[in-house]
Amino acid sequence: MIKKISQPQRFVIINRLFFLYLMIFLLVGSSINHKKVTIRILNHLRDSARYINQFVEKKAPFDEIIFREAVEYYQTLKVYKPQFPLQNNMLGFLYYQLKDYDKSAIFYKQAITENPDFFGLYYNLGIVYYKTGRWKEAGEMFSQALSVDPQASRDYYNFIGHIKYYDPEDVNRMTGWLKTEFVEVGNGYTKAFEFVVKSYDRLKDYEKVYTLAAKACQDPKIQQKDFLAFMAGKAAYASDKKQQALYWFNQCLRYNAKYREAYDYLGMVLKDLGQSDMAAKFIEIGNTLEKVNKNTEEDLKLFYYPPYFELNVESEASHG
Amino acid sequence: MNHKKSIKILVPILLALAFGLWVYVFRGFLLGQKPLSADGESYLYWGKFYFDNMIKGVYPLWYPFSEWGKSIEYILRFLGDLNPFLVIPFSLYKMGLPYAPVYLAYAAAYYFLGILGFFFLAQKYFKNFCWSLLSTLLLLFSSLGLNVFFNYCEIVLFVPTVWFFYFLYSFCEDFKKENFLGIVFCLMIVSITYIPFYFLATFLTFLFFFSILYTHQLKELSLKFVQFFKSHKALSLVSLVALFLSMVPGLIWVIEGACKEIICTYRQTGTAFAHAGAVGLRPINIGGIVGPITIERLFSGLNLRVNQLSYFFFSVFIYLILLISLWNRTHKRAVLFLSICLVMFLIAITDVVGLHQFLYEHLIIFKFMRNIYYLLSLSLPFLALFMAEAVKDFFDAVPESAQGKFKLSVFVVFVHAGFAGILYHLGGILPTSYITILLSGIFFLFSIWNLKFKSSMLFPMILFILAILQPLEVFFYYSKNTPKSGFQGYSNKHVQIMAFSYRRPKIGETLHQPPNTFPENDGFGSGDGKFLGAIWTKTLRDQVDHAILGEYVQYKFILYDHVETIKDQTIHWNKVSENFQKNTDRAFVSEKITGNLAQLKGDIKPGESPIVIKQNGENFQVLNFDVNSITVRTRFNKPKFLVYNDSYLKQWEAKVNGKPVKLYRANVAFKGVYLPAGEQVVRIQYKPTWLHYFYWFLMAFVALFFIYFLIILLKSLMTPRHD
Repeated sequence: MIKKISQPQRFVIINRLFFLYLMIFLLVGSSINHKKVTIRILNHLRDSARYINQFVEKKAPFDEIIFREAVEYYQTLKVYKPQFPLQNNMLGFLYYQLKDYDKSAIFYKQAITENPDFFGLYYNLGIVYYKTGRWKEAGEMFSQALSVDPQASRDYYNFIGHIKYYDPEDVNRMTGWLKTEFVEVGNGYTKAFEFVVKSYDRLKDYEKVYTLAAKACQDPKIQQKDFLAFMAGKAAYASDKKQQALYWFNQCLRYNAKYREAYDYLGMVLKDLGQSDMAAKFIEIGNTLEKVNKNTEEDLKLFYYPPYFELNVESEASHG
Repeated sequence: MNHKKSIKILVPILLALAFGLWVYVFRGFLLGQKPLSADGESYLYWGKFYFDNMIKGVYPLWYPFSEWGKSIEYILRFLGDLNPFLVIPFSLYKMGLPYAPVYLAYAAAYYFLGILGFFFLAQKYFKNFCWSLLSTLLLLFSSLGLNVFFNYCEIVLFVPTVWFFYFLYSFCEDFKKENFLGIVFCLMIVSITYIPFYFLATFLTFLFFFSILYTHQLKELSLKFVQFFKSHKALSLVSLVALFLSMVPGLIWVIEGACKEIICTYRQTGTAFAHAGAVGLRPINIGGIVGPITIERLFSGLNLRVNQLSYFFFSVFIYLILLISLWNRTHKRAVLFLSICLVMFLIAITDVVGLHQFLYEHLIIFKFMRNIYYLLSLSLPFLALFMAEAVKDFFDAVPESAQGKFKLSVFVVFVHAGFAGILYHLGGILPTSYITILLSGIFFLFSIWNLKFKSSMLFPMILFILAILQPLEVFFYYSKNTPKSGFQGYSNKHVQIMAFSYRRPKIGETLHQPPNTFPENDGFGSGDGKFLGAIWTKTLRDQVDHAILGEYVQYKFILYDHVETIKDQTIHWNKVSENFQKNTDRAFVSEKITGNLAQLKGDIKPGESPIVIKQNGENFQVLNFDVNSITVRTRFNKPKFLVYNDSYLKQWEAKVNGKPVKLYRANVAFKGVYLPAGEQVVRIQYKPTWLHYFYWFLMAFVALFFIYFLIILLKSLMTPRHD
């Protein structure tokens, strides 16, 4: 009996497996509710999005597995809510953390296309370029960031604020975040100037460095100007404009009397100008100070984080 | 030595090597150096609780250390508590070996037993060692094995299921007694596992498609079954009784669950079906495989996956087989296997298609199955058989002409290159996936042009590599990715005592209990989202302020001088709360007060207060305690009402001085007994004594049945065959 069953018994019509596979494919494909598939995936990956928020708040360490899951989460979210403006920004951030800088740049570019008036996106893309040594692009991006109307950025935040109803339970967190970020926009402005200057300095475009740094020092929005004044002096010195250099190094020391490098440069400028005694005096003072540690690596970790949010997909699913 | 004999020796060696590699790659878990998943740890914990009680001669039915006491028969079914194989780890543990390694070694060995059963099934089916080996390796290194550490109850289901199909197949071949006993024994084991409905759903699906595809043969088989029953009446009757007995624990659970006394909040979300084990559609949908599994996740980022792998994972080789088999001829067996897998898959993806909802609404067994993806796990053996057969069919259909071979070779190259290209496009692919593709391409091409290769010793070796290479790397990462930080290994290696404590911790308090005792919690820990326990316990928790309740419930024995009836429908929660807060000398009884208890009705006199027992004393001593019962001696000069702050269920009973007395539901959720004046010995026990004995009897009965079956089987194996 069982031997009979064991013998392959051919069908007449469906005689190739591909036909069977095709039937299964069509059956499954036609019966699947794609919206629910997306919701299930989002629900499954939601914890990773929450984790990223904890990471941003410095409450959790970097974890590659969870970051990759978060990438899947936001990629899926893009499919589910294509009108949502934040996914590309977040994806850019996630890929940056995953050290996939090319992809990070791609997503930030997309984000900029969607939201061209947001300072943070240009800034973040500038960071990606700077990190990868693309000084020219970095300089351009930081310049663009600085050219964005601050009010437009504010509007953008307000826009985000309006869509928070997707997760009504998280309203407080969202509001809190908005307040914090508004305060930080001012600081970001300074950082953007610093980076744009550093980018052109790397390109040895001292004229641009000088122009931008000098302009920044006159900008009332910039609160910490020592580094920028120093860079203006350094660019002037490199362009052999000794008097201007002298002026800016002095300015730098007015902003920060303990700026070691400014003393060193001042010493060099004065020496060049034949004032060796004075030069020696400045160098001597400089030697008593510690170098100003402009930790670019630390600055490269600073981002304009996309606000954390999550869709209440569970409830959407139950209504779906 | 001829070729067949060589293969016969080589294949078991390869199989043993595969088991060895499996153990090696998961050694971190098996040695207790890696933490199990949360569910995996839960099985480990309950297994220890079970063993520690059994060592003391107590079959545990009640868990007094959490939720102020709850029934746990249902939880022990996860382990297959009456399974005779548990004697092995139990004995080793009793001999003094540390618990966790014993448990884990047993769990892995039990999985191997299932895999061995599958190998025998495949061997019966293919009658060829190579194809049996291939299908077995595919299954061994699939997601199924991860459940040893992730969701052990799937293994508990898988092993008897696969052996059931082995004996069923064998029985259909020869209608021998030993195979019939094998079927019955497997069904008994399935019946005493957690929700045998998963097995039932799998078997019914198999039967459904088998009856469609093999209508004529099914008729013949049915007639032969009837003939067998007629010619083996005594055996059939005994088997029927055995089957019925093994179903008794399940039936008890079904009956008790319908009494609306037990609640499992998470499972029951959204279900109108009144049963403690019933599950709402929403929790089922959340547990579907879509989410953890996507098409991309089958191939990409496998070095980053952890528990998602346990939903579905097979070697990358099966996808190549699927592609290679495109031109294979279809036959009924392929349709049968694929149909079973397809149906299981469609059910497991829950609300993404409508099949599960339809079954949920029309078949009662689906109302009890929450982790619906178990069905997918149970369909994996069918998938493994299909895959091996697809390779076999491919080689069987290799044309003899050079032109035909050339065309087939082009097809093979195209399929492999195309698949590699797709994987490359996806990104995040493990190197072994590409190596497997390359090796598979060479293997198929070489075999097409050299058909004798199939008969060489190298053939099973190559199949071996193709089947396990990529899974080995995936499992290596699975092990590596399992977080280790902070994990110190599993403590409580040896027997812990079920000690009684007059006090349980208040909310958030940690009581310093001796390390060799089972810890007790404040009863609030599980949260409302996943509460499993007595419904009145849950109600009380919901209605009374936790701070007040936590203070009240910290002491387990309170003696009152007065009682008052409260009706369940009209409980004044403020009054109950005030009673707890002010420690008023009045207990609430949830039924009409009659008989002797009526003496305790009446007003509270000034200065009266209840006696809270904090330790053994002259008037109150705990004489005996185990998880199912407690015996106390009391000596008071006037009648009292004793409240034991441990959850009440109707199945609890009380005796005073050996005589059964009424056990009341007191203070909404707890147990209360009337105590006459003078010395009394009170025993409160969960479920009648005969039932405790019945479980012991059932355990012995299943073991004896197994021994009998083994004797018959061995006799048969030793009898020379004439065919």
